[in-house]
Amino acid sequence: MEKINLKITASGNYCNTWPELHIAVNNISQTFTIKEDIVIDLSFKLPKNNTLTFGMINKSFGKNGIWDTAIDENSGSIVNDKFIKIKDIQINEVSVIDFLDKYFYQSDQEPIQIHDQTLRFNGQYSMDFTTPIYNWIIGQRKLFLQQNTINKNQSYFSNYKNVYADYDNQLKIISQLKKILKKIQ
Amino acid sequence: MINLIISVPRLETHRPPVSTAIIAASLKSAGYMTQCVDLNIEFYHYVGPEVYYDLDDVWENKRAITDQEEKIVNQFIKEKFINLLPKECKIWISVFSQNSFSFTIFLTKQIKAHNSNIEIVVGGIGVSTPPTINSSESFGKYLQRNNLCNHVIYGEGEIAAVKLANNDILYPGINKENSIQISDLNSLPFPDYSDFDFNQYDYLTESKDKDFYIVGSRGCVRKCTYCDVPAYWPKYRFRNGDNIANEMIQNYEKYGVSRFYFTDSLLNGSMKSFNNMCEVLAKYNQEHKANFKWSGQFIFRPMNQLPQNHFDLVAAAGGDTFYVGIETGSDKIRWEMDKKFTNEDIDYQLEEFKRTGLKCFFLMITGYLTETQQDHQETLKMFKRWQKYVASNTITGIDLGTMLTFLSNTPLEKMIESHGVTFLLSNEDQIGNLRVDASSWISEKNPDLTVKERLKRRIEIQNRAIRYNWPIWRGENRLNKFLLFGQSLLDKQQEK
Repeated sequence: MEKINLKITASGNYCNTWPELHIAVNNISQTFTIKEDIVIDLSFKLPKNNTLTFGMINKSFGKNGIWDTAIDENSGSIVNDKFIKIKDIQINEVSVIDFLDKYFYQSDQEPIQIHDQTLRFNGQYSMDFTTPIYNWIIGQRKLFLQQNTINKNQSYFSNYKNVYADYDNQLKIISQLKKILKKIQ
Repeated sequence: MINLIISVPRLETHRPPVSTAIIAASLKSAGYMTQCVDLNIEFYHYVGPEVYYDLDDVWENKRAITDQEEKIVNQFIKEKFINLLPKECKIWISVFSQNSFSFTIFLTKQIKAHNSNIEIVVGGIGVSTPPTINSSESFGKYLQRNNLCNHVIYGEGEIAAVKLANNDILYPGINKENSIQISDLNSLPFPDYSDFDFNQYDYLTESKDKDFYIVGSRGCVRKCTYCDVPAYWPKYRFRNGDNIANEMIQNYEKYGVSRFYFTDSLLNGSMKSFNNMCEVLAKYNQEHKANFKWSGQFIFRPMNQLPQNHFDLVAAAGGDTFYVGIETGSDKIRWEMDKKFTNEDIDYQLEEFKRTGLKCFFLMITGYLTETQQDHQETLKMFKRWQKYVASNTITGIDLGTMLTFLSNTPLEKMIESHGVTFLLSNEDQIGNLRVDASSWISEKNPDLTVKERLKRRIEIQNRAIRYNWPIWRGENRLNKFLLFGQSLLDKQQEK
């Protein structure tokens, strides 16, 4: 089990009511009313495999005649809207807000994904993660970096950015080295 | 008459070479016509990256050049240089390191065969180095003795080049290894990049942003025991902060360059100059949205020397990634290396780096002369201790290095006798009068730190770095070298 601290910094925009953010880590969930700026600070003791979900839950699209998006009748433009801006997500003091645009916001209402850290519809992000948490975070960064393609033609030796190599080969060589060391007096 | 200032393989391909730009600026300021020619990048494009990097083993003397490769090199020189030579010219070749020796010989041979009257001057750090491990003369002298060059400039070239152009061959450093250091770096003209085609370079960012070298200082304020920089540059000299900033601003305004890499042994040697540079750049960034990004080697200092707003200023000025000699996780060993900062100082600076978005890259030396098992355990602990900063992308990588190697002209070399250090004999390196393997040493004063033990510790360190998911530079490459090294130790043992 590892002690995990989750900090979500968010700000809400009022339209009829303040937006609500539902957060769940595994089976533990809470709902928070997001008024202007807020820092939600939660701590857990977590096992190896976990899931974090969070999303807006109380936006009304006409239920009981309530619309949480106000539209100007003449121009058709939005004049007010209920939304939550996610400003930062920190896990054990490390920001992972940059991970957000790699995930899909699951919503019945949102037709397209707009990756601007703003929740405009009811729905949720679902992020599976493992402990040790820093290993997972670094692994994710490595994955995202490789997805951005490192130019393999650039010299390995002068390119200080080329650091996320496969560990498997290194571990194989280490295993061979250990065998040699056993034989050396 | 035009002065052709040439850079030759093997150099980095990621930025235009600053050495030739520096000499061009000096000669131009003195009224001479110049033209920079970067044969390194031209060769890169001529043969393509695969062949270019394949030849590294040739330039590094790890294998002989094949007939086919030699043909390609000579063909390139003829097509892209000899055939284009103006009728009247003087050639200045910058030899950066031993990795340029072979190409320089091919080039000078062709030039002299084409026209033996063409005057060739060679300079750069490489000319002071012997051409082979068994040679006692410098590469510069070798070229002169073989009539492949007319003059050699040793040491810093800015003033000596102008003196030579003026036929003042008695100036220190011209044809004699008695060069003197230039005291006032602020008096030198900014490097002249007007001849370079910037589109040729293999820039490191995804968006291929242009990137230049900057030379802010020469020498070092520290005298780390393992380092030979003070032997080459005894006195630390630095440019004023606004002088450096103005060069960067000029390059931005003239060429749109906003990324820079400092060639300095450390870019924050003079805090006054460094802070001054940051102030000017931060102000310019704010007014012009230049978005400067600059990197280089850096020292960590005791935290009481660094107020919090210092890091905010560095970030505002465009500080990007700093390569820091952390070397070890043991405060005791770092102190004995003469690096006066502790793990607590590192904690503070990493936290400030994280807060302000600055990045750093750790450089390590494992198996120091006096390292104990306890010191080694301290190094192993650092991977967990600072893993948070890897996760936050504050630490962008680590170079675990090879094991401690003795270099000539270092404080460590002077400790050989007092520590009862002996080396396995080989032809690899020169220590005093002996040909030795400078990494295969044992010390009477630290008998537990055998060669085997050092290798064992080095592997444990890499294993620990992998366990905590640290990004390791040259990870596989270094391990493969250790594999060969370990096998050679085993072979020697079996011979006995």
